[in-house]
Amino acid sequence: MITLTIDGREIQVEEGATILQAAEKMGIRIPTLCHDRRLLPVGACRICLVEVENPRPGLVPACATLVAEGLVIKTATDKVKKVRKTILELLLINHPLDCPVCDKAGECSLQDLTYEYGVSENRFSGKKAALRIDVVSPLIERNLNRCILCGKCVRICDELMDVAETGFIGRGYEARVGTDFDRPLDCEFCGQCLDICPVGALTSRLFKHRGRVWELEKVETTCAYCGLGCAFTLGVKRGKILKARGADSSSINDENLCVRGHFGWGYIHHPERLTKPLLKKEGRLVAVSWKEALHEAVRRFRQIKEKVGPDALAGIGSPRLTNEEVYLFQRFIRAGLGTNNIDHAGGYGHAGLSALKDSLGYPGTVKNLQDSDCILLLRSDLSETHPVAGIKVNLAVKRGRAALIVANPYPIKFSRHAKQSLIYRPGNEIALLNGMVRVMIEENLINREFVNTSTSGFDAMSKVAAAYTPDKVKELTGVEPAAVIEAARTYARAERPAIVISAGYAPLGEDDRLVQAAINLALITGNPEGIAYLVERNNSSGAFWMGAVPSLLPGRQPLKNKGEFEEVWGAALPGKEGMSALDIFNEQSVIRGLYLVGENPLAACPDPVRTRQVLEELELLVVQDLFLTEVAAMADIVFPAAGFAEKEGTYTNTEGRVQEIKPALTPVGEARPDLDIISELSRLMGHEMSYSSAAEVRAEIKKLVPDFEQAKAFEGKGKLVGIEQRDVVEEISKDYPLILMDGGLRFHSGSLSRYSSALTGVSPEARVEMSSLDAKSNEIEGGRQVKVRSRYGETLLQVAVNDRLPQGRVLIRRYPKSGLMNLLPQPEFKDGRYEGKICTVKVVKA
Amino acid sequence: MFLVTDTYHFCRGLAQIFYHLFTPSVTLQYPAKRWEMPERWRGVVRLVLDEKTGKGKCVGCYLCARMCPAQAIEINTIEGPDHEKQVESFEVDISRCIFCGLCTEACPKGAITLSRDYELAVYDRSGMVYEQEVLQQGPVIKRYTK
Ligand code: SF4
Ligand code: SF4
Ligand code: SF4
Ligand code: SF4
Ligand code: SF4
Ligand code: FES
Repeated sequence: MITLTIDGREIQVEEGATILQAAEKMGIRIPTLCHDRRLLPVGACRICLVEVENPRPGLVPACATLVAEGLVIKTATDKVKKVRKTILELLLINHPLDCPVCDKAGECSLQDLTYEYGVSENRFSGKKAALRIDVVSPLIERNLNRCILCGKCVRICDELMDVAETGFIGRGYEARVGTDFDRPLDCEFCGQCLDICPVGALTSRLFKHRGRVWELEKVETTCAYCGLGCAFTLGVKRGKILKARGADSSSINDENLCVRGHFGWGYIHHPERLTKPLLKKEGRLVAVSWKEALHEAVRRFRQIKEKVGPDALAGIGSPRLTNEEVYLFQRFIRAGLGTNNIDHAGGYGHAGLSALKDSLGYPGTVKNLQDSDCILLLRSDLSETHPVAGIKVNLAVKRGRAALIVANPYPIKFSRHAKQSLIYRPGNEIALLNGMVRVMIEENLINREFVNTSTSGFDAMSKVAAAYTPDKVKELTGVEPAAVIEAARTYARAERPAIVISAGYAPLGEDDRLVQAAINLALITGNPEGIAYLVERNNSSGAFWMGAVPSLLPGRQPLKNKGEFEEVWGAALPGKEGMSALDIFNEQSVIRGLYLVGENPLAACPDPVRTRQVLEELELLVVQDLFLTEVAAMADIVFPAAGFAEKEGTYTNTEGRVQEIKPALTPVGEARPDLDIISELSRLMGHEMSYSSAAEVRAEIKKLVPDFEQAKAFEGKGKLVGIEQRDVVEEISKDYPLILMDGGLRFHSGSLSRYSSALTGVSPEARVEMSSLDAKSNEIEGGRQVKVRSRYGETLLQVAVNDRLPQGRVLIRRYPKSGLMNLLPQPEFKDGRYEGKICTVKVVKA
Repeated sequence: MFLVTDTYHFCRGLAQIFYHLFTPSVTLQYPAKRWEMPERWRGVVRLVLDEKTGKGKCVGCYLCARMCPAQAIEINTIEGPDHEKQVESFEVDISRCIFCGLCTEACPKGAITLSRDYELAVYDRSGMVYEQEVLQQGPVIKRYTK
């Protein structure tokens, strides 16, 4: 601890803190322009100068000067004020004073300081900057005439995003921030730079000239795209969202956001939003009143129930619903309709979470990522799937010098910083992990004490792993023995290693086994807190926890515990395990009436042809959604639902953290929050539900699920289970010579992003990527349309040829309408579980 | 005695009448005639046009709306075809306006002023919300005719 004096008061701070941090701790404000707590200090603007009296008198920048024992500092002497005023005058020489039309006005640091220091005249004069304004780049407008060269945009883009899209060009009076050859931006469009810019040089095109910041109503809520659940603040004017900004809270994102969070909410104002309930009459969907639609749904649910029995009915929810909605939905299906046929997102989303819960007792954590000294990125293209988690990896690697091991079937952005990049055959992650486990046991790199005291099943697990000799691993994965050994050593020797896995990629239904294999690795080295399993959707974790699963009640309680639920719900519950989504869309499906809430199986389930067939044969299809999706267009009854900014509730993020969403808007037209629709439907169905708010539902959930807020950390007992690598890749033949990999895409996520014009504007068209060698041998040229054909179907896509991809593999990212699902096989039911496959394809000229 | 004083008062009254009969009157035959208000009169809000271009001077900074203590002003701006700021709508609810003139003081462009118009009566309350065009041209006053 170091003691120093600021403005006559003594304070103790830790060594390595800056004067600015010390002052902040005392509540003394020092103005800053080029400083941000997320970035390394550079001391470029000098507005934060303070006067040091002792030991050597003079002015020093507070943001970039470390504290020292016995320093005596004054932050607001006349001299300091005079210097700051002069700096402002200098900045204002060429700064255009166009505050009346600048969208930053009201939250502009330069404006605020100019006012605070009373700079009403300028002793200096010079040419005003007259650079061309960049109105071409999507989403971000750059008016560099207003730039004060603080460098924050350049630094955040490099330090946090690891994109380094812009840099300083020119010197002296000519210096400016620009791209190479002044081309428009072509980056990740995270929008971090425009949030951090202290002036109006970088502004959002979505907000452009549409209002002023002080008019905006600020609503603190949670991003509804990926499973990280970043906290952000929406700026609303006259019933329209105009802005989003990372919230300065204790949430996972620490003020950062990705492109989806920053710009992707526009779908909520899309003109195609459903505004009225629809009912199919004479083959056409026509708008009807809520009363008619609800009564018709109830009448027909009843009809099927009486005629065939409750097990001919089923419900599929969405991992985008709030916890409260999922809970009521499953309660309606179970108690209202009387069946356990309930599932969500194709039914394989929760497998990995199950494994974590069973073997670690908590859902993993992202918190420790930034402080890790070794990160194993396993099948995690984070800059595409979970960009904000990617920031943490960047910081750990670039700032914290963590050793990065990237294990992915194709090179990713992080590969260039990787100590080791392991490119393996798709689907063979488990062999790789088992191989590492074997090396660790063999070389005695494991934490025996931890294994003995806090885990079980070591012997059986090590027996399985023993078979994965480096040679066998090479045979299965294609990774060199030396590389596996080195990776195992690096991981085992690290003090705080972390494993990151992202959820939901092919082979479908395999995540629980993969996660268990990773848990084995984490546990034998005694690092139960170093595992992050990143789910795809905002509430994947909650949907699973709230019981949208055929075999589990809320809180993951088995069906045999139904007594307690029957008591609270006042209804008898079915005891027979229900059908999963995969069962429902099976050939032998016996479902006659289906209720889909926010889910589009045509886009989310493999083999859409068969899925469509099942849907067509239904007697009753009720769809509740924001848009008339392909599946809603097939429905008999459609209920218009409210979006994330139009309702209240909570989402549970990938770490099991329960976070609130708040209504910023009133629902469009007659759309209603899912909570209202479900409870009204249930009431009409004869199962009484009445809640006046989501909080009331939450109170009921908490009564039944005491650990609604799941455990946040390892609680001392872990399970080791040996996992064998399955043969997951289909046969490679002359007809199907290429392995198909699926990848994430930062601009899109599920079915909502395609209604966001901001996102589709940046990333409009689906593509298939292939290596230049494969392209050559198949006589395919980049940029052309090609047909990708698997054993199950085909899709027409534009091809992008690059040298990055290994030979023999093609990559389709998850664009909306990529047709990826056409190509994938339905997982097969084998030994009591569904097993997916990675398929092989052929690419031919279209 | 009474007669003398009565006659006196009667004559004074008569003198008064004749005096006013030949001096100009204070009241005006409104609406046939109307007052010309002094230069600094604070009447109905008006948006000023640029003399050269003939377009409104307002750049849409919302400062007047922010300052207005009666919250009478509502503005909406959009991005114009040349990426400039365009005032899409500018409304003043004159039934709320208290003629304080703070909006004119806030305006950095001299684009809003208080005119010398003072005739506000309308048949319908909704007529008291003046739109941009009305604010630029001045309200059209419907006169009572026989
Ligand atoms: S939007 Fe993000 S990636 Fe693009 S320049 Fe700004 S900080 Fe860099
Ligand atoms: S554009 Fe903004 S953030 Fe970037 S250097 Fe200029 S003032 Fe700083
Ligand atoms: S990382 Fe995920 S939660 Fe965070 S802003 Fe992006 S999409 Fe939203
Ligand atoms: S005169 Fe006063 S009350 Fe009337 S519009 Fe202007 S600021 Fe508002
Ligand atoms: S203050 Fe002046 S320029 Fe600004 S919006 Fe009002 S009238 Fe227009
Ligand atoms: S804020 Fe300290 S030098 Fe810029």
